[in-house]
Amino acid sequence: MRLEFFLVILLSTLGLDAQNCNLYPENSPCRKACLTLESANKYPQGSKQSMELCTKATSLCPELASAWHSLSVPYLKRGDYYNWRKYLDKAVALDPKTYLGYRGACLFEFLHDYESALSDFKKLDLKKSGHLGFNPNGEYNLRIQKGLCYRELGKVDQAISEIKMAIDEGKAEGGVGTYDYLHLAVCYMSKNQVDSATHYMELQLPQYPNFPDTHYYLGLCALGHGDKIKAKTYFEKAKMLYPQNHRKDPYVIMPDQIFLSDIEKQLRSLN
Amino acid sequence: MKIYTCIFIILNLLILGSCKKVESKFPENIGDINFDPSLDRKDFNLCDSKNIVQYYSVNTDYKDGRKALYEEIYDKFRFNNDYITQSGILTVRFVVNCEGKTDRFRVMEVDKNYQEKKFSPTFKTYIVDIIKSLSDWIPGEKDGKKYDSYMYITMQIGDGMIKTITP
Repeated sequence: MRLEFFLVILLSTLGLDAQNCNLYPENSPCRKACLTLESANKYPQGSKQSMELCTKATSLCPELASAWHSLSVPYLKRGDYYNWRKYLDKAVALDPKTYLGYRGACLFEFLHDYESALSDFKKLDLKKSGHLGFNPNGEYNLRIQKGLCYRELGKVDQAISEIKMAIDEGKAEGGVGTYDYLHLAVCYMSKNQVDSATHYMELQLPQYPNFPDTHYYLGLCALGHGDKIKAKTYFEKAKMLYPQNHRKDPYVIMPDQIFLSDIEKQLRSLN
Repeated sequence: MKIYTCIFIILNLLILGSCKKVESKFPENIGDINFDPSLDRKDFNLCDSKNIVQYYSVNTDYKDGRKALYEEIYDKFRFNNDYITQSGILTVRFVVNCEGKTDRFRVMEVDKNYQEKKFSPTFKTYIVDIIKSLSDWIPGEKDGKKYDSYMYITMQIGDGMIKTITP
C-alpha cells in the first residue's frame, strides 16, 4: 500500500508533462506536437532549443496543455511572473484538473500569494472529489497547502479543518505527509493551544525523527508549558541535528521552515 | 554558356537568401542578462561568462541563510510617503559572481493580477539600491567548483510597503 502511495506521488509530480503520445491519432497535428514536446526534453529547460520546440508544439496543437505548461516553467524559475502566467494560464484553461493545483502550489511556494493560491485550490476542490493531488516536488498534499493559505490569511480554524482532512486522506492512502503534523501543530501554536500543539508535534516526531524543526517547535511548546529545562534540551537537539538534516529546498523557503539563527536565538534567551 | 553560368549563380544566391537563419525570439537561455555598458560595471568579473547558471542549481546563498537576507532587506527599507501609491510585485534579478559580488541588476514588474505594470522609477531605484547594498553573498558551488549564478528577489509591495519577500 505504501509503495502504491509513493508511486502515485512520483507519477503525479515527475510525470506532470509525461504523456503517451499514442493517445493521439497517428499523423495528427497533436501527435506531432506531443512528440515535438518530448524532443524538447533533450535540451536544458529554458534553453533556446527547448523553448523553440515547445513553441512549435503549441503551434501544431494549441489545445496541448502540457506544451503551454512546459513553456511557462522556466519563467517561474527566473522570477518572470508575467510570462509565467501568460503561458501557464493557457494550460490551466485547457486542463484545469491537471494545472489548477500546480498553479496554486507555485503561487503558494514562490510568491506567498495566498489569496490567489486559495482561489485555485477552491476551484480544484469543486472539480475533484476527494484528494486534490500533490505539489510539484511531491512533499505536500495540496489540501495541506490549502489549509496553510487559510492560516496565512488569518482563518486558523479553517486551516486546521483542511489539514486534518488531508491527514485523514493520507492515512487512507497509507502514509501521512512528511510535514503534515508539524503544520497542524503550528496552527495550534498560533492559537496558543499548547497542549494540542504538543500532541501533534509528538505525532510528527516519528515521521522524521532527525528533523531539527520538530525539536525546535517542541522546545517552543515546552516553553509554553513553562518548562525551560525541557525546552533547552529540545533546542540543543535541534541545533545538533541542524547541519545534516535541515530543510533546504533549492528554490524557496518552505512553510514553517526554521533556520539555525532561530534555534540560537532561543538558546541565547535561555542562557 | 555565359547565360547558364549567370542563371546558376542567381539561383544559388536565391537559395542562400531563403536559407538565411530566422532570428529566434528566445535568448540562449530564458532569463539571460547580457552586459549593458550603460547599466553594468565594467570591472564586474565573471569566472565563466558563457556559463552563468541558475541559483537553484548551485545553491547560491547568503550568510546565515535566505531568511537573514530577507531580514536585512526589511531592516534597510524605510517607508516614505511618496511610495504610498506603489503596489504590485517587483522582482530584481541579478548575477552573483563566483567571488560573491553582484551586478547586472534588472527589474521585472507586474501588478497583483500578474499583468504588466510600471512602478515609479524612484521607487525602483530605491529597491535596487537596497539589493545592491547586500554584501554577504555566498557564491554558488557544485562539486567543489564555484559558479557565477543568476539570483532574484521578489517583493510583494502594498501601498509602498514590502509585504513579503520570496522565493
